[in-house]
Amino acid sequence: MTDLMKHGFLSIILHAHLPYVRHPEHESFFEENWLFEAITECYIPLIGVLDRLQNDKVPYRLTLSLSPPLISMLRDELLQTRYLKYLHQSLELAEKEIIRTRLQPELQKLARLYRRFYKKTLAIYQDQYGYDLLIAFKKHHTAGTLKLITCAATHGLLPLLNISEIAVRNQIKIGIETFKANLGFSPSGFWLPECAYYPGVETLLAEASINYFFVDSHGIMNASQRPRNGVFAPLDCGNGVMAFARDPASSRQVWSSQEGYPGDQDYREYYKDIGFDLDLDYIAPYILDSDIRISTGIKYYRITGKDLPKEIYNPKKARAKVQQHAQDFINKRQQQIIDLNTTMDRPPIIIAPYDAELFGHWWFEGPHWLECVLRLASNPSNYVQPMSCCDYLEQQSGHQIATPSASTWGDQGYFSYWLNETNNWIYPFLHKAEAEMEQLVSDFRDLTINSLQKRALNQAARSVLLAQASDWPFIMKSGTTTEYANKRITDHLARFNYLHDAIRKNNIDNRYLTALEIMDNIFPTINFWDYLPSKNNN
Amino acid sequence: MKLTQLDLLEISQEIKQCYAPKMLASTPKLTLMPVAPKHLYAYWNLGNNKSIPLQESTPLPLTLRIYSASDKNNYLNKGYEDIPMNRTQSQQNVFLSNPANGGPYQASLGICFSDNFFDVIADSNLTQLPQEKPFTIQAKPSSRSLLTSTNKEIKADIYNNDSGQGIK
Repeated sequence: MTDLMKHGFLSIILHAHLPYVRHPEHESFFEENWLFEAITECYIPLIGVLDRLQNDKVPYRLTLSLSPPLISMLRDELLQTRYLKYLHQSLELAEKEIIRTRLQPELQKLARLYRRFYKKTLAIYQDQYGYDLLIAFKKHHTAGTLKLITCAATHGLLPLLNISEIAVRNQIKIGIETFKANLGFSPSGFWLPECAYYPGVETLLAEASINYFFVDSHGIMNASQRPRNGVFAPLDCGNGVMAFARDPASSRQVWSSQEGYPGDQDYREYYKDIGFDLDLDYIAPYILDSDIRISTGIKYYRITGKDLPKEIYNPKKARAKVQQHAQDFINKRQQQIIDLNTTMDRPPIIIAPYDAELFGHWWFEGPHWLECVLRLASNPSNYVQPMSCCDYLEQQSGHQIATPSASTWGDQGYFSYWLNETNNWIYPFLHKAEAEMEQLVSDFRDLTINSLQKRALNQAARSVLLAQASDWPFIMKSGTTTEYANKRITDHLARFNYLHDAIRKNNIDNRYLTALEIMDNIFPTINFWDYLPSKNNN
Repeated sequence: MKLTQLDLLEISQEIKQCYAPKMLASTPKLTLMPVAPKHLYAYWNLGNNKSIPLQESTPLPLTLRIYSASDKNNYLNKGYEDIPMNRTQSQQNVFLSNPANGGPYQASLGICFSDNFFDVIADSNLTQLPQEKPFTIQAKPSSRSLLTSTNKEIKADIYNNDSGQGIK
């Protein structure tokens, strides 16, 4: 076998998304911490990885999907200010911990590590990128190493919104517009929320000038034609839009409970956080309302092992394990490529997509692992060459034509996680709001619209989109912050109902409308005419 | 216009209280959604159509007549499945006994009379039934890890493995 025949590509895709958690109506709000934790533990460490790779001139390739709600929140001044406060509090707690642990040198060493970590985070956030992390991502995109793509407007699960084609079209269109308005260019790829695909969505993606998207393995394996290259080459959906499939093996190595790297005993334990362990009097200023225990981010123990007393985290040992796991990942991809080259008619591309928030939040060492993998893969002596899907499509042609099958990457592989007894009540309301929005816009088609009506119609569209986020049914099923998910769906639908009623009765209250515009300030350039059925039919 | 935090909160609460979602429909409507291979979800509203014989003393069962929409002859050739629906509900899971593998499906909600006459109350949208899987699914665990952070300590049930952490 020649070296050329051993050749293949690895495409790692990170999908970064959080629901729109912004509450200017409160002084502080617990769920905004989702964003702050992700910035501290995931996004800034990821930027650190990219900056180091760039400094070392590593020719890596990585794809990052930034969801529109996340893009909007990272650019939001209120959230930027609140994040800075959160970060200073974390730093203050780390300082306090250095004093508290003065008689426990092992713990104190870790407390110092956290202080360094927060100081570095602050330096990157404040000094290096001036509170705007999109600048960092764009810098690496411009350098050609990071490929940025986006996702549906509010991460709506498209197959369950497909009662209305306009709903799906607007999720795609407004998502892309938000990306373009903030990043300055159009994305060539699209992350279907939860990899949720239904036959036909490729038509709407083509309309939006999208070249490729991702599905789970069974979406390709159960396609209308048997895929001759399995999940290791894209399928042309018949209209030139390409579907890439997740490789089950590389997913399993990161996600699996049996084989997954993040569960290694030397890695940091996520659940043992000082927010739960220390005296309430001491920790009160750093938890919710001074009396509800939450994660602070400061954790001193390693996973250790099932039913064993937790041992103190040793960063040096964890780093060594990261190297080992990165090498193992690359070795397995190399072996895959060697095996695949005997059967494929083109170089294989291994698609390895993950939630960006896994790296750093649950898996503290994740960003470092990613850096090691990208360094190893970029070494020309390896047969695994990092590549973006975009570049692969430029190099390869004559892709097999077939339609993928309806699928998601969630539990059971279809839609049951987002449509079951815990959350099915939301869909009649979501579909009704969408239909009423379309009818409302249609009824205004030949009328003169004043600026107040225009604002109200645009705000109604924002409310519909925000209610459609897949995060709310997801949380209802997961059973965690269900009260919040119920509140958010109810709030957005009620806001839509209010606006719908006010517009219909020509009774729009400027004060109320302004309040809603302040609270739900996402998609500033939204155009309600996108909900006009005839416009969409043309 | 200057609005305080309290103004925003009050407006938000008032709107939520007065405009909470309610399901009112004057015309009958049936919606079909995909869940999994052989599994659909239907919800409906019978509207206020007085001609629907639902209030009779011995009401006839409500039936969902479901058929593959990929072949129009299917319906005419009785290639459909009748599923009894619970009259007291407005939504129900629908499990098909022998569906075509994947493809578009459609349904009608109606009353099936003893002479086999089917009185349609509402027709559904078209929905794509996911294909049965010859390929084994290795689905990722429930995603969106940060959303599982709660304000209470979660016992590791999301990313939990034998060693006490990791991925389900």
